[in-house]
Amino acid sequence: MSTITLRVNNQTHTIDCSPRTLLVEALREKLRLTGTHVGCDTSQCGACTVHVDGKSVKSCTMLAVEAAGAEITTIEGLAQNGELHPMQAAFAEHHGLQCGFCTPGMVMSATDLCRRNAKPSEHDVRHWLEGNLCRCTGYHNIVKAVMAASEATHDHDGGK
Amino acid sequence: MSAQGIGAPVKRKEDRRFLLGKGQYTDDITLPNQAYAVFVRSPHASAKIGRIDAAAAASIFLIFACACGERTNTA
Repeated sequence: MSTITLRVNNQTHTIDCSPRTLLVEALREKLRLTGTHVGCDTSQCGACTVHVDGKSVKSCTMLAVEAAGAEITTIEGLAQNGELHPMQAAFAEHHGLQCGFCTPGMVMSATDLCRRNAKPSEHDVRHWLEGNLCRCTGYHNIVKAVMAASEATHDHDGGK
Repeated sequence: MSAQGIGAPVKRKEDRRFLLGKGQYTDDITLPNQAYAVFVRSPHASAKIGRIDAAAAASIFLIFACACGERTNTA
């Protein structure tokens, strides 16, 4: 067993886990942050996407021990003081979700895109989200939501 | 323009909790003292099952039910 310290959503946690525990397992089972989902066993679906030190990462493809000392943000950490992050608001406004299972991964992935590229094109969004699968929506409204969020954020404070 | 009536959008109620990561999908739910189902699969591609002995498992786990394929008298 290993004892590791993680910073998750601005809170410090010390947990015991086996060295082969995946980061997604540690988040869901040890920290009870079940917003991050496991949708496949093959690193394809992206429902497990979180931010590790500012970058989007598939948490199923990383060991918890690898994340020791890192700053992790999960879907639960995006909204501040009960107010939706612009990306979350855009998904709601543009019907970018149906069952919602892929949604945390989509939102976490898309926020990283918009952090790197303040004005992504539709092609940029579709290419970036190739690692996030959705069975319900057919993707069009997800792309619209991400485009709307990037425009809204860009208008407000010059890109974030 | 009216926000109600024919032609007005009807907002979904469930989106907020899904977007906040608070959707309770099956694997997100933990009940007190919940049991787990485990499927033990044959290591042989083609074989005849002679018998199933759950004693070793029973010494480690509390087994609620073990479906071992015995024939029953019900239809």
